[in-house]
Order: sequence, then C-alpha cells, then structure tokens
Amino acid sequence: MIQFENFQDFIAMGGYAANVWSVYAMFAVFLAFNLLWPLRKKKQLMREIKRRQIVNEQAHKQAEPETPVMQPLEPLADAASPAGDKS
Amino acid sequence: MWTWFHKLGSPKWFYDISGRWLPWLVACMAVCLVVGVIWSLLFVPQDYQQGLTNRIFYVHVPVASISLAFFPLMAIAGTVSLVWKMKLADVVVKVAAPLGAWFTALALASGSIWGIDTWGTFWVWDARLTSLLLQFFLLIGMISLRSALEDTDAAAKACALLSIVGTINMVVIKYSVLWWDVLHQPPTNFTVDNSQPNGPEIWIPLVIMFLGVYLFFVISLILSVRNEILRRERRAQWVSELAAQ
Amino acid sequence: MMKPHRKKRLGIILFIATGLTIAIGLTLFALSQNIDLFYTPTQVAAGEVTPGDKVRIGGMVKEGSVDSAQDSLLVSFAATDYAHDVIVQYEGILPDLFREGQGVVVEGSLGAGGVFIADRVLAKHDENYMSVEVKKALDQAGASAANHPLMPES
Repeated sequence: MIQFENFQDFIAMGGYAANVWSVYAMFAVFLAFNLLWPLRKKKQLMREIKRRQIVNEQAHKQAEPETPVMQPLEPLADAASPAGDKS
Repeated sequence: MWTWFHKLGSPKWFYDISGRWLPWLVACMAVCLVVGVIWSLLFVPQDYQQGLTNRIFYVHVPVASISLAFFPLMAIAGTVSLVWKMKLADVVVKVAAPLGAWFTALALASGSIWGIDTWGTFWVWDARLTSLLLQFFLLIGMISLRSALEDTDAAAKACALLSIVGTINMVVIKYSVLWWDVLHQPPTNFTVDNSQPNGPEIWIPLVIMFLGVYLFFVISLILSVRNEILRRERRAQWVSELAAQ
Repeated sequence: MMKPHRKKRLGIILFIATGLTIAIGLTLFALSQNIDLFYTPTQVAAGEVTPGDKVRIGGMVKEGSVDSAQDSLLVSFAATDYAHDVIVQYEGILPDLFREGQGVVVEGSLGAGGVFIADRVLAKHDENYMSVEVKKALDQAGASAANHPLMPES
C-alpha cells in the first residue's frame, strides 16, 4: 500500500525531506558514477591502444617497406609477455 | 589439481567470461534497484518512532554492510597475489580500494544524515563510527600507496599487509556495537511474524535493496577489473585484436 | 602440491597476520576499559564520575520523569538503568527520538547535589523497526514498550 495520499506528501517525507532526499540523491550519484566512470575509461583505453597500434604500424612500414602489412605487430607481441600467462 | 586455479588467474579468460556475464548481471541489478527504491520510498510503513526517516535505513544498511566486505576480499586476493603471483588477484586488490572508499564514504554520509534527526547529532566518536572512519582512511591510504608505487611488487606487498590490518578493523566495526556501550544501535533481529517488530514488511524491501547493491558492487568491480586487465595487457596479442575490431 | 617457495611466502604472510592480530587484540583489550562511550547510572551512583568532569551518561529516560518548563526550553528528566537513576537538567531542543522509555545519552558534567547538567542530549534509538499499526496492536495486547521482550527469539 502506498503510504502517501498525494505527491506533495511524498516530496515532504513527513518533514524529513532534506535528509531522505539528500541520502537518495547521494545514492544515485554513487551508483551512476561507479558504473559510468569505468565505461568511460574503457573507451579511452581502447582509443589509446588503437592509436598506438597505428603508430606502430606506420613505424614498421617505414623501417621495412617490403614487409606485408599483415604482420606489423609481431615484434611488439614478441617483446611483451604472452597473453593469458599462467603464473 | 591447480589448473582451474591458474585458469582463474588468466586475465584473458576472465575478460571473456565476465563479458558474457555482464548483461545478465546488469539486468538483475536494474530490476532489484528499481523495485527496491520504489518499495522503500513509497510502500514501507512509517516507523512508529522515526516516521519517514526510516527510508534512509534502506540505503544506509546495504551500503554499510557491503562496505565491510572490501577488506576481507582484498586480504584474500592480496594473499593469493603474493603467494601464487596470480596477476588477476593483484588487479582485484588495486581496483577494489577506490570502490570500497566510495562505499565507506556513502555509509558514513548516509548514517550521519540519518543521525541528525534520530540521534540529534551527525557525528559522535563512538567505537562504531570511529572504526568505520578508520576504514575509510585505510582505503585512502591504499589508493595513495598504489599511485605512489604503481604496479610494483612493493605496492602489492604493502597493500596486502594493509588489507590484513583493515580486515581486523572490519571485525572491530562489526562487533563494536556488541562489545561496548555505544550510541549506534546493535544489529536488528528480523522475524517472519508480521505482527511483531522487524517483520517482513520491514525486511523484504531491505533484502531487495541488498541484492541490488550487491550486484552493483560486483558489476562495478568487474568493469574496473576488465579495464585494468586491458591496461596491463595492452601489448598482448588478444588486446590488440580486441582494439582493432 | 604447493611449491616450497610459495609455502614459505604463505607462511610469512600468516605469521605477520597472526602477529598483527595479537598486537591489535591486545591494544583493544587494553583500551576496552575506556572505549565505552558513556557511563551507566550505576557507575555514577558508585562514584566513578568525578563532579565537574566532562563525561557522557547513557540510560533510559524514566517513564513519568520528564518535566519541561512552561516558559523556557529547560527540561529535567531521570536517566535510569533500572538499578539507579541520575537526574539530568538540560536547556535546549531535544532530538526527535527523545521519548520516555527510550535510550538516551547525555553529555555534560555532574553538578553539586548529584544533578547532571547536560550540554547535549542524544537519543539512542534501538534496533527495532515497526509500523504504527504493529505498535498499536502490540500495545493493545498489553505489551508496552517497557515490559514486552522487544527482541524476538531467533
């Protein structure tokens, strides 16, 4: 059963409007920030990784013009530890 | 015998599996939070003493309880990262600290606001409030340690040690209301009897909010773990392929 | 199954953890005499509180003891732990949850004649939540806040 007879009562929260609504507002900010911030960061990261790839490809092309474009990433992948490495 | 354990530590494996799970988790979280918030704001009966300030209970209790899960989580993950050198475990220790600081800050803030009208003060240096504030500072300490030492072995060791201290503090937070005479009330004993105090009309919306906030905690943690995996593995072949898509 | 160097590292971590636990445990034990937020009326009656010292006293507001002045914010009431009472005087606005039969924490100092002069009154609310209807039904069943077991067996 809804505890309020009208919208004004709901907003007024029995005289505790400032406290109740500020807590729920903080809760909303808390949820939104901690979901949207990682998503934004992921976009930035992906953009950054892509940008580096392009830079690497171009550097590679200039160094060895005959190399096919399909393998420019190989030296980089060798230098780094392989993905999914076990401990 | 240990293969599943090592598989669990594989960043790529985790990235793949968590990507498949995320949509379902987000759907469940959204349902729980929407139902929980509407129920607790509109349908929970007025408290016989607190009136409608009891709405704050439904944010404060789930957030504060889950804020206590961070240090045990980081202590376990930190130990695994130091002993087995599992990459994923240190990632969890790193990204859990900021999220834990958010949880603790909201627990402190919502509790203070609740206290203004119910206690007559927003702060008192009792054991419960003080130990929760200490948890907040420990988390801030871990975050700054991380940014100072970056992803070095020293950072992993220092953070694992701090998580052990934080876990002991977490036990103090949990039992402070029982061990000492403090202003904060002890935990509530809920009952299934609707004609008694703390009946289902009080706790059903609380359980729904709990589920929602728990799922939120898991989702936010997974999102940050995935980002940190991408960052640390940025030179790996599978990340390059992912970025090229 | 565990490699020796891992076993050694786990041993070191467990050793440090145990050490820290003992150290913190001992510190807390040492503090536990003073960590309580407030004195009880029984402790006051036993003379553990020096008059003039700034302290907190916690107890229940005794039923029928609240006496507020007509023309000012002056109020006096008895804080009790059902063994001893302390008479408290306070001038100011009381928190919303200040009720007879409910918990209260007062901050101030013990004055002459054993009357506690409070600078601050905090309401200590209990862990029970119920609707007005449930409360009314319980009261009608003859269980007032003072005498019915608020904590259900669980």
